[in-house]
Amino acid sequence: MSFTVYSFLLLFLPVSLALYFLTPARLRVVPLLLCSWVFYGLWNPWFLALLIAVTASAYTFGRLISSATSPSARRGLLTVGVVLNLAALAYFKYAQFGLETLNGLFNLFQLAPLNASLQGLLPVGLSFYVFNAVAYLVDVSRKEVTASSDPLRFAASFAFFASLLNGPLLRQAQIAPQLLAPQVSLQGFGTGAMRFMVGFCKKLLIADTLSPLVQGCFASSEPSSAANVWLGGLAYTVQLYYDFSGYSDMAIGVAAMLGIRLPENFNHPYTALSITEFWTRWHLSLSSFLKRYVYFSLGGNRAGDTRTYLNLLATMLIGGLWHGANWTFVLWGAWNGGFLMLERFLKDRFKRPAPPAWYALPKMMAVVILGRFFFISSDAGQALEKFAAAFGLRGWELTHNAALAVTFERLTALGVGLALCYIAPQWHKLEFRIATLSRSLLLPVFWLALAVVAARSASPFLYFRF
Amino acid sequence: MSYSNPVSQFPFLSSPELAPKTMPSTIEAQGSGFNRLFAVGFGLTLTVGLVLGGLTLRGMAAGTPQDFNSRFADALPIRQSLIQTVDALRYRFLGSSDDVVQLGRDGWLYLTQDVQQPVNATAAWQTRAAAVIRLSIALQARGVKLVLAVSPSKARIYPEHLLGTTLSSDMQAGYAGFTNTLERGGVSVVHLETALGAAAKKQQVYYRTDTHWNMAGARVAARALAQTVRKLGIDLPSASFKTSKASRQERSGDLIHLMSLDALQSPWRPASDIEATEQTKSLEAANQGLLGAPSTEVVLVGTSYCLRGNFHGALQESLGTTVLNLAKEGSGFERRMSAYLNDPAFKNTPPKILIWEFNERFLYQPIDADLPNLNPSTVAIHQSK
Repeated sequence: MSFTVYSFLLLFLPVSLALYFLTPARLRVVPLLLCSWVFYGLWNPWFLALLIAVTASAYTFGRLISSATSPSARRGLLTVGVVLNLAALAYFKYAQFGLETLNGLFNLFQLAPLNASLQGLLPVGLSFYVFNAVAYLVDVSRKEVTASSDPLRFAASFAFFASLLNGPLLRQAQIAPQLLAPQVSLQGFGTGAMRFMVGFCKKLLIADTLSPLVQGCFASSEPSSAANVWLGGLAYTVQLYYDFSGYSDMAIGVAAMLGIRLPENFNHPYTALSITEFWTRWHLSLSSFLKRYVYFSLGGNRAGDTRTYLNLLATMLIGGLWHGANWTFVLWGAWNGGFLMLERFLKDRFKRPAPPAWYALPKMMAVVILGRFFFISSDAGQALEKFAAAFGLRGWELTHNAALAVTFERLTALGVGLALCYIAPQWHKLEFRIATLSRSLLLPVFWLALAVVAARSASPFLYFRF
Repeated sequence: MSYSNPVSQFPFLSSPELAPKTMPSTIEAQGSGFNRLFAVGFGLTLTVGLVLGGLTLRGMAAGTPQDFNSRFADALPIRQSLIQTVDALRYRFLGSSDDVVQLGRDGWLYLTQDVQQPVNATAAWQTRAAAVIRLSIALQARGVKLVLAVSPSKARIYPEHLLGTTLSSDMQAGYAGFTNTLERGGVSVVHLETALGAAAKKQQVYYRTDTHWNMAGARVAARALAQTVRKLGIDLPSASFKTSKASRQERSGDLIHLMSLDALQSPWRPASDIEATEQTKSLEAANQGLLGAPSTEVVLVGTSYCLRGNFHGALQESLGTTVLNLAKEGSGFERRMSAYLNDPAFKNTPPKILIWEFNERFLYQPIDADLPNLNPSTVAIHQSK
């Protein structure tokens, strides 16, 4: 079930809220867990079985690690627990990719390929909850959190439907304590409702409106061109932000209605003036996770410059691979890691002041858009073809089908989307009357977006495939 | 991974207040009275939604948990009204339509498929041309003369009303390429593009709001087709027909239907076409076959174009003979022809002339979809019996 389908909006959400609020505060974890499992089970009952298995494994190993007396036993149990969780991820997400890579190597050495297929359904949200489980086990082994002794609360925090599918990635320490006594209030409900409605409008009115433009610009029915890939790349960059941040807003909003605080996931990323800054503003919960559990584990910046650069690159490569089982994501990680290394090197070496914004901002956006070519391509060849097109090697003008996809409605969505990226950080500085007018319009615009759901074919969140 | 943000250089973009904190949270109420408004407004919306949801559940079809969401959405009682409202607003204020329809100049509408660049279009029509030639030879061996009529797309006849686009390059060349290939292969082809193109300079031959030709266009196409059939020199039983005309009235085209705007009026949708419908009837029953069934000397198989604008009636009148119309809506390239060739009616009493109409958009579709059904051996097997 997704946040933007009618069965969620007209049935699941009101019923879940009613059950939650009608249950005494100390027992609210029960309807929360049941609703979360129903929410996930409606995708596929087998997915629910996997979620329960991962939860049970994390809980059990958390208890075992906590009760281990020696550091070596703790380390051993942590390794087994982490490997078990990652095995689920490896099987469902990376097995086919590994097999194809292996067969590619066999082909290179003229050996017979393995005749097998490990292509299966990827359970939605798997990457998110497996990472949550791994983070929990590492935190318990580092004694940064106490192992949960309340299986019900643990399972509810683990399966919390608001953040289960697309994050924000949660650490147990951030959510489990809140389930003991959620801070429910009318004010909090109103703030959550506002946040949910904002996210819903971002997804339905901007991200989904841009989807046909992106598809038209990157259609495989005709050769690409510079105008195609730059317009499509810009539209995709805006679409991805409004899609993913829209989901995060809705998740944070639903949680707030229930009296639970979730961490922020975005902080106006397209206002960043460098790739380094961009990664302190985009998908914050993943960046934080990678920094905490990968970059620091590799030694961070404590082992000399060269090692720091390599750690940055390795962290981004793992971050890329987390997004999907494809070499394009590895290349995307390398692209970002490369720029992080370059910026750090230039800063350390020359210690020059940061470039002015009129230069830095378009440069940052260009690097982000070019990086998206890896993100949106199904293989490396396709991505390189987009790079060739971007630099004019395939012609400059919009192709026939791409021109068909350019409509006033989509250009308006693109313009509004881009403008809001830069106006939103200044929201608190707006004239009182403008701010009041904007807030007054939120409910009617939300109702319009609710109607739009009927007029569009179901459009899943882009990050569901990760 | 921290980086000092040169905020001072461009304070508009990165205000210090929004610099990354350690997991900032926005749940804190901002002290606005709007929070209460949002709480009440959203709560009421959910309450109304729940009532609607309950009604929807009662009307839902059975299915699996996986398709619960789509079944629920389909059963929503106000779904059509919501679609209509959104599409009307999009049309009125953004000048947009559903992706399947392109808005043109002066209220003209086009099917998007008719202006999109298809994938491997040339290979597709060339393969189809070869298949049609093979079929024509097989039919000829059975004494059946195949006459092909490819109805041109509206965008081909009326490119001047297209907005911001043209007919794609592959399509530009596709129609003539296909018909010329057939003629070289010995197939009788009606040049509807030429006939309709010339007529369009004097009168409107396609509906503005529909993919099909109108009464005038159908008449032009029927006359061109009759001319080609007469050139074959095959004796056909004669019959007389009379055409009557009704008073002028509004006609809402299939493209308005695709935009989900049928139930609305201008300016919330493009204005309807105005037409006086024509109807052609036979004046005698003399040329009918056994038990009053229509003669099968001339059979017409085709698409919805044969069912619009009194095309069938105009064709019979132009030919002066009865034509059995086996056309069917949504027949695609070959479905109707394939069904007829496999029908006992064809097996037992094959016609002298078999007219095959389809729209040019089907020429460019992926070939694996329909060609296997168009097997000349079907005709050969019948012949051997």
